[in-house]
Amino acid sequence: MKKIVCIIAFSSLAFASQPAMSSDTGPGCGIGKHLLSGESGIGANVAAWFLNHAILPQSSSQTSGILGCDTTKQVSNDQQKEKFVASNMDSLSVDMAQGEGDHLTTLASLMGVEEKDHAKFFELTQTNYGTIFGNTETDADMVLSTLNKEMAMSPNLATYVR
Amino acid sequence: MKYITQLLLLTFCIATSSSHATEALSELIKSGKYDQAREQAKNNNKHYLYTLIKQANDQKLYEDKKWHMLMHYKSNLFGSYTSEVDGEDFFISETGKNDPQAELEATLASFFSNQPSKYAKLTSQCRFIARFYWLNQQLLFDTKKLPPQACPKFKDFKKGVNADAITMIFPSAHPNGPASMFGHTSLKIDKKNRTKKTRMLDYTLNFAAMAGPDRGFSYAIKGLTGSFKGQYSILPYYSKIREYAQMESRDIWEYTLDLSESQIDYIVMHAYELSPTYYDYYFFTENCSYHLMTLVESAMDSSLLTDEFNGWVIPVDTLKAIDTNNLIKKVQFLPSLSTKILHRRKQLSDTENSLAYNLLEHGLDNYESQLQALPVKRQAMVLDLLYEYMRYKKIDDSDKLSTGISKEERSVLLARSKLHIPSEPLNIPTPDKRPDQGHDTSRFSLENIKANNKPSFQRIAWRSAYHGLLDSSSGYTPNYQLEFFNLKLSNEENPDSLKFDQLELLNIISLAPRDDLFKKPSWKFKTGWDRIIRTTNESDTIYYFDVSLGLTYKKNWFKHSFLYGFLDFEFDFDDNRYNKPVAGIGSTVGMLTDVNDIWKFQLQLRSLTQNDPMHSRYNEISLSQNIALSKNISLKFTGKKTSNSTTSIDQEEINVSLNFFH
Repeated sequence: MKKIVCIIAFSSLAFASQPAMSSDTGPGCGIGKHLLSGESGIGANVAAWFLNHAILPQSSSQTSGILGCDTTKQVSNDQQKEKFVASNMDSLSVDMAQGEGDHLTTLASLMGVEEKDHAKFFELTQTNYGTIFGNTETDADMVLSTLNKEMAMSPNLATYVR
Repeated sequence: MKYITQLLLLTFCIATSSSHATEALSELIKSGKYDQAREQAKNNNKHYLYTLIKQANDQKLYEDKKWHMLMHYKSNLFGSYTSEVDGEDFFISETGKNDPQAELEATLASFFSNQPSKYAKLTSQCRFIARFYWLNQQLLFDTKKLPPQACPKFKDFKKGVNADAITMIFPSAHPNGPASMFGHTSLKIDKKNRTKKTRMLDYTLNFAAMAGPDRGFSYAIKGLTGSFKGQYSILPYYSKIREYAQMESRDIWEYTLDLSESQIDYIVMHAYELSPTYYDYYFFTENCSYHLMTLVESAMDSSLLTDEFNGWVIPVDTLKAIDTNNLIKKVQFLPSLSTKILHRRKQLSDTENSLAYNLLEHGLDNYESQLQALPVKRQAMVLDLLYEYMRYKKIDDSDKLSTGISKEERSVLLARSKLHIPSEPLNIPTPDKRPDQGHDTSRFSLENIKANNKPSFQRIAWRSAYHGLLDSSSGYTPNYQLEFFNLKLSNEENPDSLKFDQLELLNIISLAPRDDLFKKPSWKFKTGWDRIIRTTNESDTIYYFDVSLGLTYKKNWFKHSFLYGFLDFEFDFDDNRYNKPVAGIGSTVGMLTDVNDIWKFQLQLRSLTQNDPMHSRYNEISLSQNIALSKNISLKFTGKKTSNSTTSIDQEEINVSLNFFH
């Protein structure tokens, strides 16, 4: 018996940290949704939630993303620029302040800036760092719109503003 | 005349009944009853399905290796097949999981339908893209009788991933998480026309357990018994870089595979049809690395990869397998946050380094004049290091990495931007040895042991996985040990017979070097059964459970050295001798050194006091050296002296062992 207690204690110790989690657990997935496929409306969604969270064992997020959930929807070229900026605000902020970096190069390519103008683009973002990241509340839309404004005033980069 | 009328009538009847049958068959297909449809089609040679099923069965496609790989069928003991896929949405026939032929026939039937399935809002042709592609290749579908469907969703997906190459991603092993103790692999679909810098826009395919709120014990048990569902997810590479290289500070290795264009297309098609379904997830066997290998394998003409894996699947073994099969085209290294920090420190002088640390601790304002005294270029380097310190601390303190920047970070970055010079690229060198070039992960050892006043005896040992502290560091993290299932037999009692000596289930040592910034504790854990010889005729098998917590400092002596100290807590369970566990408390100090690429040594002092009836106290000094004779052979010498202050008996022992990695 003591041995078992020890094994349990160990397991909790060694396995206590964060397990691998799926990052695309959107709403409306899981077995609850599967059982209620074809139904729609608030009633069905509430029922799906209830099935997922309350009735089916361990189904709250373990089964999310499974059965009928579309993981391929991640792949799309629409609004890639906005999504990229929003997901990498901190790294972009650093690259802009430092005047170079992989994230900033990637943003330049997403904005269609040709390689010959990258150095100009980097210089512009470094010079205007304080304006682009005006304060700690700045969000992705604000970053992009300020960036576009600054680029519009630059003779070399104005052509890339869309 | 009457006869002719009868004949005409008969022909008409047959014709109508056959057209009735064809209609009925089409109706079955339309309503998704593919098992009934395939049975009926076998008696109805007017329907094109009859021809296709006949052709397929004549060619025995259901026995084709490729079909088995597409469906992930594995043969079992009795020669029958079961698919490893556990999602019922993956099978068209009711018996498809266990019946390759029924599944193939039903699949053909389903291709005639333009009704979406009940699981995905897609028709069978558009849901099972790779299956359609392969069956079409084999049977050359008549497009008039079986019109191909447009599948715009797949076309968007294909255009979105824009595949140019497939790369296997290996974030290195990391001791502080069960899901990453052995490392991890995922696949990256490299986009066309991307550069080294913009590759973060590539998509990655990850196979992971959908572990939700389960923690601790229940997480472990579920992971071992396959109670988690494993599923593929598709994410941009930048979010994986963020997770591995930044959050977890794990260096990432990228192995680009040497595949043809059609093989790459095939992997994209198959990934698309696998992504909505799931597998039961097993930590050690059907894990992330295994399923990524089966995905790559589906594009090959023969199974190159997964047949090699019986039992454990360790991520680094899959890298070795792609190397063995000459599938490696190119390898790239992506340094983690802590690797970058260590590299930046090396570029700075001691004064500059302590300035960076003071700036972190006391803020920009208090050290502004010191900073401004430096040349602009050096100021930039100090501020760049300072920002990475801040980021590391943020992750360490909060265990997450939000995309926002704090006021302090913003003021540091603003100061940095005002210097108005670009940072120099870091150019961190790729380590000499790649993870796939290290020793193999299982080890067989032959030992000869000479203890004082006794004839020498022999021991044989086999360790299932993965790396010991003294094993050659090439390709491994030098300060991290993970030994799993280590069985030892010896002839200590009787020279002519081997007896059980020890079975160690797990032995982990994590020596995490500390300094002003990095403050993770070092820890050790081991558990298993050990046979202890008490007197000439008496021995006990005990169960032991030892944990230690400590500190490690890294020095640049020789190649590198780790100085460590631990507080040890040991518990022995010896049911035959004592009615309660024997607890011990002690301490260990030591030094582990890589002298060069092939020679390692470890010097260690240990003392332990146990609460057995004799209150035994032990002191032990040991010196071990390991010399790698080749990648997979090493010679190890250990000298040990143990003194028991209670019984005043000293014991000296010399152990020479030859180790083979396989």
